[in-house]
Amino acid sequence: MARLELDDVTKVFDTSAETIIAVEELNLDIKDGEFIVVVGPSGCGKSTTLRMIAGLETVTDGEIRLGDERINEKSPKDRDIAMVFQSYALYPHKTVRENMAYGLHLSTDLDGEEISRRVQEAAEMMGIEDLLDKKPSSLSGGQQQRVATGRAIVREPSLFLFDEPLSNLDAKLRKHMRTELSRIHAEVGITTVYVTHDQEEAMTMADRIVILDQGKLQQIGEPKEVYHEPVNRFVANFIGSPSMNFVDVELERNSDGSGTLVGEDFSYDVSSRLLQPLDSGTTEVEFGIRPENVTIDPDAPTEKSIETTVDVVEIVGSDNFIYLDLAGEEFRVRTPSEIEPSEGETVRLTFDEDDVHLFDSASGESLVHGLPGADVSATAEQSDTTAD
Amino acid sequence: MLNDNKRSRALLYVGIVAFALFAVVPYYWVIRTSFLTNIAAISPDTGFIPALGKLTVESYTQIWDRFAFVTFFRNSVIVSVAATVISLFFAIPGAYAFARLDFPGRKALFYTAVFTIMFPWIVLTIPVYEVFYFLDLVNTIVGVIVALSIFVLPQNIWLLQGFFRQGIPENIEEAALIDGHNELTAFLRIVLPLSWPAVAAAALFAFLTAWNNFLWVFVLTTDEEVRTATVAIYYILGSDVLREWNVLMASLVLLVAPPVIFYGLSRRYVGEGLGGTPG
Amino acid sequence: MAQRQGRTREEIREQYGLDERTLTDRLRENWTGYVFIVPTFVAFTALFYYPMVRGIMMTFTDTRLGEPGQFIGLANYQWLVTNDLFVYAFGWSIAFVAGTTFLQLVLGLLAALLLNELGDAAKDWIGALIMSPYFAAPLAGGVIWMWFLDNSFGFMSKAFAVFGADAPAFLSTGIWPFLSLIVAQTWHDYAYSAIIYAAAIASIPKEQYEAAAQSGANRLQRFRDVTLPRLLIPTIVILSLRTAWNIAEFSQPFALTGGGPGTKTMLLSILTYRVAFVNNNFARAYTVGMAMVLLSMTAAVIYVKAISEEENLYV
Repeated sequence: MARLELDDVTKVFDTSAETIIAVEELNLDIKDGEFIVVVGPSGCGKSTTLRMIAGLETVTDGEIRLGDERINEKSPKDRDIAMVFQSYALYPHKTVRENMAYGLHLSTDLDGEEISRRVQEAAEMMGIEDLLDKKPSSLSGGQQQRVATGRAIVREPSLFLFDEPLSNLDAKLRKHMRTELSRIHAEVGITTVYVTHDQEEAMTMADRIVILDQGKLQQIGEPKEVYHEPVNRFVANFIGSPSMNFVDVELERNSDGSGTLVGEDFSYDVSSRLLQPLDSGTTEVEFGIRPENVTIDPDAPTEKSIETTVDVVEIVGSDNFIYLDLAGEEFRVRTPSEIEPSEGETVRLTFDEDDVHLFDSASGESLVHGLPGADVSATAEQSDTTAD
Repeated sequence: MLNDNKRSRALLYVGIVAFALFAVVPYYWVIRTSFLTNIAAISPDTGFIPALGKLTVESYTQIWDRFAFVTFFRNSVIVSVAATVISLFFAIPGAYAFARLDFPGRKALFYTAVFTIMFPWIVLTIPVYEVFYFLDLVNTIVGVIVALSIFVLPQNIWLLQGFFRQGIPENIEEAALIDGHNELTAFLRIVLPLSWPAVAAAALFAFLTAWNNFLWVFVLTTDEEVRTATVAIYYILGSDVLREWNVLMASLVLLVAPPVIFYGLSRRYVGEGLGGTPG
Repeated sequence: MAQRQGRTREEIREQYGLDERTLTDRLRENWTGYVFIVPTFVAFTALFYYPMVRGIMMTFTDTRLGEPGQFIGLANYQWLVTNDLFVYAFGWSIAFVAGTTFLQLVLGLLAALLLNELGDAAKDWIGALIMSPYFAAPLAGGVIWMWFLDNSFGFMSKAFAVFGADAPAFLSTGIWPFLSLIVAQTWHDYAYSAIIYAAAIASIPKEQYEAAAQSGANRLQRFRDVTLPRLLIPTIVILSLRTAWNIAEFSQPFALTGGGPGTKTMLLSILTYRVAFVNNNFARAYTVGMAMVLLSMTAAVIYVKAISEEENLYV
């Protein structure tokens, strides 16, 4: 059993120069065997959170429990964890084999035979059997990463911690290692907390994603959930690439409950179904639409479309990224590669009402998501600790 | 273009040769004297470059009879080795704390350490002499060793903290903590084994700095038995006996050669080592 | 971050009870750091911090060697400012420090720039040769120059004789002893700035020169636009460190002229030594030393400011 719980965990860095809240009142409940990815921009507190779990950083306030046992005061070696660092932190003077066996020698009373059996097993799992007698300095970055992961696997801990483990690899290798790590997690089934700044990594690997900003939990949910039902503007903006378009609009209501989103240069009719959850007094909203949900359609009806001029067309092969100028703001569209408007051309954009997100202009909290059946309330409840 | 290049090339060589001459000619004059007989050394007939036949190693063999140079050089070696070992014992943990640990007061302490490097030592000898006087350490080898140990400490700390900061992979102690060490054993078993090249370099510098030191030994000793070679040369220079220039210069060569040769061979480290070497 | 959330430090500290933490809490939390620093701290206290404070206290007494001394107020300082020799030594020390520091800086920069133009192997060996004076014991440096400049047997007098001229008395008459001291000191220590400058020049990326060359900058312009800006911090570091060390310099001038003839080339360091260990007047000696401390600590403050500019490199 290794369920990991964080209860109102807070970290304050209090030096003579300044007092900084790195993580504030963070609550997480991570199930046994779950793969959790903590994601956020740099300085959001994700690494600090991981280091508190590892015992490398003291906890200012709150409680961390691993397998129902409080571990705040335990030293790292007594926590039954293994960690993979961004820098790998392999021992340069030890061979790969010694690196992997070192933790077992130090903190277990396994005999040498058992240890070498486990090292062999982990090495096979990571595909590094041939490297066992080499020194880390003679290995490539990708190989070092495998050794670092192998060193963690060998321990068979109740919790894996990964601190941006793939950041030092090139794009191709990074993609490959993602699948590899997912496979390994499926094989060993150990609870994992994985920290990264890369939302794509989070989306592809996580059972659930934890999004942090400025030391506070923004949202926790499955990848689909945070993608389709972001609780606020920050999450909507952070998840997805290229990121969501946001436009300030005024909401004009009709007597039948339907309405119109009126922007500077356009208007877009929405049905009563979309507006129904909204407070009737709400008029100033920000509407969000993902670039991949927008299509270019010259025949679209005026009341369901936006007319703008093309600024730049970026061809990436599989798709085209089109950057348009909407009332002075950049508007991004992702289209199939055969649609390639010329720069300066005026095009008509349209999108489905189901893909529309509306946010409170002032607080940035999400008001409604267009997708039918979306259960916003559940996620909102989980993240109510984020409310200021 | 070619012409311009040629001219600047020529200028470069002229500059280099000028520097080399400035650096080496004073040395040369000492070395020249040390290989002459005393008469030849002061004779106006001996040329800038003496005839081969006039050269002799006589002065180098005479050093050992004329003065107690065996004692002086032995003392130099003893105090330098002892000061090196003692100062490293203090400097290794200190430099490690400055470079890789964080605790309230670290910065303040670090900056005072910087200030000590720049403090005029001659001023400090006064109260230190007073302390040593009361502790009966004046005129003893132990006193000299204690003073030199602490004299080379800032330089050792400076050199080693640079290494700990950059030469030890980041997070390595943390990996060790998770693998089952505590902070102390992580340092002893993981960091220290990785540091021996830097420690060796620091030791070499400490040894040579102590070897070169004049001020502390001069102030703290009067007896010949505890005199080091550096101080001995000063006394011989000041004594009124008929000067044997060739012998004096030969002992000077023996004094200067070890540091110059060692530093010359280990130039790669020199840049890092200078931060704390009071000139 | 706290600031953006509009809370002050005090509010944060109060909310999480940081003010209630005692000294023992702090010690327990940072025990490793303190364990490692304790030996250094003890050593520094014994031979730096305590003596410095003790010395300053001494200046208000009439302490002599072995006698505790009575409190006499500012009498030592009064004696100091009215003492002609001190005032003379103070002035000459400043001239000595200014001259040597300037020459060391300029020659060091020149040497570094010249060496940078050489191939790797040549740079290494010629570099070692050019830098070699720095590694000789300063006392030895004094003796070497004394012999080099010796009126009867020195290189210089012999060189003058070649041209049929009489060499001036380099170590006694006219302006010569002053010049000799400055030149000898420059000889011994210019390599320090050469080494620091060489490291700074080596760390400039080649691409920057190539980019400048492509945009049509000639050799001089490249030096001005690429090299020079990178040398600012090293220059401040060298200036302040060398200033402090040239003030503190004792061994080499002591061996070369010993402040003489008479008291003609009396430096503050030599004066401090003489008052302390020849006259055994410790209190007055430290008072003389205070002038040196004042000068070098000014340099130290500049130095610390300069290195905190490069925080990541040093602290």
